[in-house]
Amino acid sequence: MFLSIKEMKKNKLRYGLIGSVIILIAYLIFVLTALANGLSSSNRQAIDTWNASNIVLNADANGSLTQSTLTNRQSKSIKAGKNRANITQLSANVQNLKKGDKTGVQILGINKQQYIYNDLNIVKGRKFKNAKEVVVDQNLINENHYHLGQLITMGNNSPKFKIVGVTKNAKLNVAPVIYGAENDIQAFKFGNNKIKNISAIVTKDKVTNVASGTQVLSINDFIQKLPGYSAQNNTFTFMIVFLLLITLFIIAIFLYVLTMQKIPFFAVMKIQGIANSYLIKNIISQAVIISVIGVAISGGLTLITALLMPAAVPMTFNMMLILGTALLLVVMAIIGSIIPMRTVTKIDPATVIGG
Amino acid sequence: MKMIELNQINKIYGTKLSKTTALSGITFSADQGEMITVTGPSGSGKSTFIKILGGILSPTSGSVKINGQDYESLSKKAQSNFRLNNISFVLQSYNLLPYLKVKDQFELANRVKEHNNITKSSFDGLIDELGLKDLLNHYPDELSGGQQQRVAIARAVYTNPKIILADEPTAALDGKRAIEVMEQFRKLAHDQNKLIILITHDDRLIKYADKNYQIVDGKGQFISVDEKSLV
Repeated sequence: MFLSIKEMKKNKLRYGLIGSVIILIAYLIFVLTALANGLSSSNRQAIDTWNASNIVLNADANGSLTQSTLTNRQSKSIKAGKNRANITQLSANVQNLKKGDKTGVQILGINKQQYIYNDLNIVKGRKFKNAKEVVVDQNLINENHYHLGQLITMGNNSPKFKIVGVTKNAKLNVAPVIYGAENDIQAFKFGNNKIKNISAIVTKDKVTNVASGTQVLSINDFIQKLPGYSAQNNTFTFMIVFLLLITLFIIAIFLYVLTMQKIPFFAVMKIQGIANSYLIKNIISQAVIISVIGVAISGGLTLITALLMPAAVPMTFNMMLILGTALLLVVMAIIGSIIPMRTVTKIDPATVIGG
Repeated sequence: MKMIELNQINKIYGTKLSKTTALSGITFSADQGEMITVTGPSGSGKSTFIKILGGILSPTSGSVKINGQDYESLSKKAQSNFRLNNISFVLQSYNLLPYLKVKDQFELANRVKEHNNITKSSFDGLIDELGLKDLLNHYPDELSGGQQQRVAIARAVYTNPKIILADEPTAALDGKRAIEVMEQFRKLAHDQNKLIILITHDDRLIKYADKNYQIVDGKGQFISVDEKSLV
């Protein structure tokens, strides 16, 4: 540690440059991680709040809630335990009252006798009780300037619905969710209040009887099949892993070049009897110091970014995830510092004597 | 018991077709408190000789005893530790780490060898004697060649070794500075009972030594200091 700190103090520009590169890469990784986390969360937030373990969909829907329809007969014959809830899904647009543009929403009809309704976390207002009342995700309120008590329409031929409550963490496929009564949404969806089809049944329990033409998916499998979800996550994961590898190479190349430049000095230290282990510890500590400082500064920058970032940008700053990524960066730096180690151990102290 | 004893040392580099004999049948011994210069033409084997003396090169055959210890029988790690405790080097260049201030060059020695370094008062005396008091907070690149060599000598002494080996320590210095450095080595040998073995190509400096060991074509012999000085 002694040698590494002294060397960095003396060569501030040299180490400042490598530090800056690490700061920028770490910052990029943190922001990408937050973006990946935010987008992933925006896809599945509402599903996560249901705390379900399984979902029953139409067998031909290929795991898609949008394409799934369960008839009344099918839904009645499915045995999915006590903690089951019907979902009637409909995609629509609501008008942004201030900007005039439209926002895509996910309308979910839920049964007032079932657990999703009971567990609905209301942060403002109340749950819907009467006909044509809805509870909306708070993002819709914040970004689209709606307010409690307001009447909204959701596309052509839509009846007017009244916002009576606001819930949080209710996004599905990156769109804010509007929860309404099952009957109302069925009537709106099918244009007929006699059709009692639903889109899916979610349950916290095991599904013991599956109706013909339906399929059961675990919630995790269902989430993986959300449109674009896996592709998006894999893309981000690939980018983050690649950036981590770039960090490894940058540290390794930088320390290797520095080691090559310092060979005569390492040889002098070895000739004096300074052990390889002491020199190696200093190289590793150098990598640790550079990466920890770089990661700490970029962590600070990320926090500032989080404060300044508009709500519309789907970034979620999860402290544990950021810390985990930071730790990975430091580990990469340590691995990178191992590469020049071999060069140090191979340095022949005799080379500094004579010609 | 002699401080260093080399017996029938042969050193051959390369194999078969490219075989070069660097040292042949060298027998050498030296005591504490002696200052010995090693001279000889280029390529005579001086560097190989001092590398073997310092335990950083193994002879092809023959035995090396340092302070009574059969050096070749030690493991690499033990050899390194043995050097740390018994031998210091002063080199022609790269002596000082460029990113350590003068005071930190000594601090490094403290960190790698915690015990049996010279005492604080001895250190203060040494720094005074070598005129380094005002240079402690300077980096090597802020010092002249002579000042750098004086710091290197002080650092070599700092770990309180029994033997100091110097490889052309005056090569980069002008005549006056070279003489100053030789006088410092002489004092170390006589006042502090160190064994100083010093390679030089400058025959004028031999008169500062107690003995001169001349190596020609890999064979060595002690020759009279006075006699050589007159050449």
